[in-house]
Amino acid sequence: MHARPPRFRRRVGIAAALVITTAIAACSPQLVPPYNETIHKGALSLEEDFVKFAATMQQVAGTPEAYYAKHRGAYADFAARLAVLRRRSETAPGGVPCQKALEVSRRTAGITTSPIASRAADRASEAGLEGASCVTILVALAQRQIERLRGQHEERCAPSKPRELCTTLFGSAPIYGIFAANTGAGISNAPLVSAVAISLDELAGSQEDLKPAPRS
Amino acid sequence: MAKQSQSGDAAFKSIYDALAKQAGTSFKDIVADFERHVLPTMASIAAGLVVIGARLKEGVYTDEIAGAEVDALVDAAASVLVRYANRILKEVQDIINAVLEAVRAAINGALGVALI
Repeated sequence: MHARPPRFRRRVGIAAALVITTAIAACSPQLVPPYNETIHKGALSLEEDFVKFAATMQQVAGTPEAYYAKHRGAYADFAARLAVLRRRSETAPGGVPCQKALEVSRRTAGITTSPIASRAADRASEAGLEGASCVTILVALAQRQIERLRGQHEERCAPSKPRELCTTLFGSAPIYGIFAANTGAGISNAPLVSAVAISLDELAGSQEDLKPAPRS
Repeated sequence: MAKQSQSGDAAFKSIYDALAKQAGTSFKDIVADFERHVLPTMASIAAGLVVIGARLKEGVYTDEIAGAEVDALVDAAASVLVRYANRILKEVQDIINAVLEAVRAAINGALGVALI
């Protein structure tokens, strides 16, 4: 059997290199949608405005100034901004369904040993959000939080209701403990408002995580 | 043959080094994030449950109100977990891209031209 001539071997090598380089160029993964400045700035602005709203409500909770009717506009504004963020996140290119990453983090972090963490993980995998990116799920959670707060505000800060129901919804000043964790301000006395603030903070933070490092 | 084996070993080592370096950085970042942010935030969420429980027991809250506030805390915890999952995806992406970059450099080095 004759050995292949060197020229033939060189041609096969070049062809193989071309196939490999084409494959490599085509398979650069996009597991998460790239950093989106619009979503980031929108989420940061929304979080800031919500905390200001909560601080204002703390000052007037239990008084007629806190009645829901006077603050419908604020909730409409929050809902509209979240609707825009949701649209932006749903149309952002790239990214794999968040469920895949949730499964990995459940197994690696072992966080589902806690009942609340287990319920939380299930909540993030609910129907209607299959195939959604993590950012879209974060927006959806924030939307639900705002609507829940709106409903409780309407229910609890009304002329016919005890003042305590309103003051326990928004808590007492100062606002510093709204996020509770790492603030040194102790336990938040407004769990629902804190929960909303946390959801908005995680949404803003999710873009911070993706932000490219500044070039040195 | 020996020369090809040596250059192959060097290429493999450069790819492995890129993987180890990026994986080390990514793993450290994820662990730090879990300890610095996820755990404390989940702890404060759990503390909120205590507040709700106390108010329910004192009769300040009805079952419906307590349920709504617990649901809010669960959604907050879900937000923490989802953001963390997104962070893990990003780190995995960075690791893969670091390896692909090393492979690209190794191929270009072997060919002697910047083909890709």
